[in-house]
Amino acid sequence: MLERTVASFDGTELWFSDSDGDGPAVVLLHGATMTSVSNFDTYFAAGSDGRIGPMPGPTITSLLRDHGARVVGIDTRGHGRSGRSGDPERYRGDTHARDVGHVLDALDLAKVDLVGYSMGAITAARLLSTERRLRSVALCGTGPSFLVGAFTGASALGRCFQDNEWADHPEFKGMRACARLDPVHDFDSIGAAMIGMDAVPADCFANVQMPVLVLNGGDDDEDGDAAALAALIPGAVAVVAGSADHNMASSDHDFQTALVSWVQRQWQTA
Amino acid sequence: MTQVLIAVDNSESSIKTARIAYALFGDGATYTVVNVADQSPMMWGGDALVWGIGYPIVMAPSGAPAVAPGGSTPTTDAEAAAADHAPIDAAIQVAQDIANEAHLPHPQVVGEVGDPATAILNAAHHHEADVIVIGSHERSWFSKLLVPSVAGAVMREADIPVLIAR
Repeated sequence: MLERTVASFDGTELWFSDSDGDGPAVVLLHGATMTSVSNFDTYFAAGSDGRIGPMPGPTITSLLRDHGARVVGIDTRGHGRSGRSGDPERYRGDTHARDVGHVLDALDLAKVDLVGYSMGAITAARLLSTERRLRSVALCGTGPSFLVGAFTGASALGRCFQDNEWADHPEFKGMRACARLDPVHDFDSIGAAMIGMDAVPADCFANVQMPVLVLNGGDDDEDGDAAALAALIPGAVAVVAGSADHNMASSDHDFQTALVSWVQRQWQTA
Repeated sequence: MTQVLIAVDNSESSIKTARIAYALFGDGATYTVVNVADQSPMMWGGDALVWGIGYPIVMAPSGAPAVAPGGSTPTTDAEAAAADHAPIDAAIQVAQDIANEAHLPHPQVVGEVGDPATAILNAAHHHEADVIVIGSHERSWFSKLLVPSVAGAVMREADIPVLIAR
C-alpha cells in the first residue's frame, strides 16, 4: 500500500493510500470522525469481553483489493493524516468535493468508482453532477438529511470536539469513541470540520449520468431513509443490508457483500 | 459464480426488487426467483388473512366468503390434486413474469408454498444461494402489530447475506 500526499486548491495537504496496480480504481471517502483506515480498512467486532474493537477480519478495502481493484482511501481534510485546521471556514461548501478532484488529478485516473460513507457520502453527492471521472457512486450510511431544507448542521457536535465539553451531550459520545479508533486524529480539526459542514443543494442530483447505489445497514437510523434518498436520484437503487448500525455497518458481512458486489458489477459494463 | 436468490411476491414492487438484484450482481451471477404462493388463509374475525412476502395482510371485505386463492372447494381427488397445484403454478407464473420484466439473464423460477420465510430459506438452501435479495413494503402500524415481517424473519434466520431492496 502506497501512502501519498497532494496539495489541494488552498494548499491543504491531502493524505491518501493507494494499493496501486492496473485494476479498476475505487476511491473511498470515510465518515465524519473516522479515517480511511478506521472506516474502510479496520474490521471491528465485539471481543470476548463484549467490548468492540479491531479484530482480524475482512474489510471493504481488503475485499475490493482481493477482487482486483486498485483501492484509494482518502483522509478527509481535518481528519486522520490530512492537513488540519481549527477554522470552520476551511471546510465550507464544496471544499471536500474539490479535494477529491485534486486527488483524482494526482492519480491521473480516467474513471473511478466512488464510495462515500456518511459524511463521505455527502461529498460524493456533491460530485454526482460535476465530476466526469465517476464510473459509479455508492452513497452509504445516509438518507436525504444532508440536503438544503433538511440539514440541521453539526455545530453542536463540532463544539464538543473543539471545547472538549461532552457532559451536556451524551448522544455524541459514540462519535468521540469513533474518533479515538484512529489515534492520529486532532479533535480541534474534527470539530472545525463539523461546524463548517454545509447543506447540499438539491440540484446536485439534476444531471446524474452514472449508476448510483444508496446502501444502509439494517439498523442504521442515523441519517434517514435510503429509499427516500434514492427516490431523488435518477436511476438510483436503494438497498438495506444486514443488521448493523451506523457505526458498525462497514464491518458487517452483508453490508460488505452488497457494496463489493455493486462495485464489481460496474466493471462488467465499463 | 454468485447464486442470487430473489424472493418476490405478487406486488408491483417485486419487479423493482428483481431489478435491484440485477443492478447489484449483473451478468456475473445466476438468478433464482422464488415466489411463495398465498396458500394458507387464516381466519381472523371472520375475514381471510392471507400471507404474502413482507406484505402479509390481505383482508377480504366483511361478509365475503373466505376461499383459498386459486379455487373453490374440490369435490374429487383429481380436482383436489389440481387445486393443490394451482397456487404453486400461479406462483411460478408470477415469478416468471417478474424475471422477464426485470430482464434477468437465464433466470430459474420457483414456486413454493407454506410459511413465506421458511419457504424462502428452504429455497435458498436447496439452490445453494450465496445471497438473498428480498423486497420490503411500507407497512401500517396495524399490520406490523399483527404480523411479523417476512424480510425480518429471513434476515434473522439466514446464514447467508440478506439484502433488502428498498
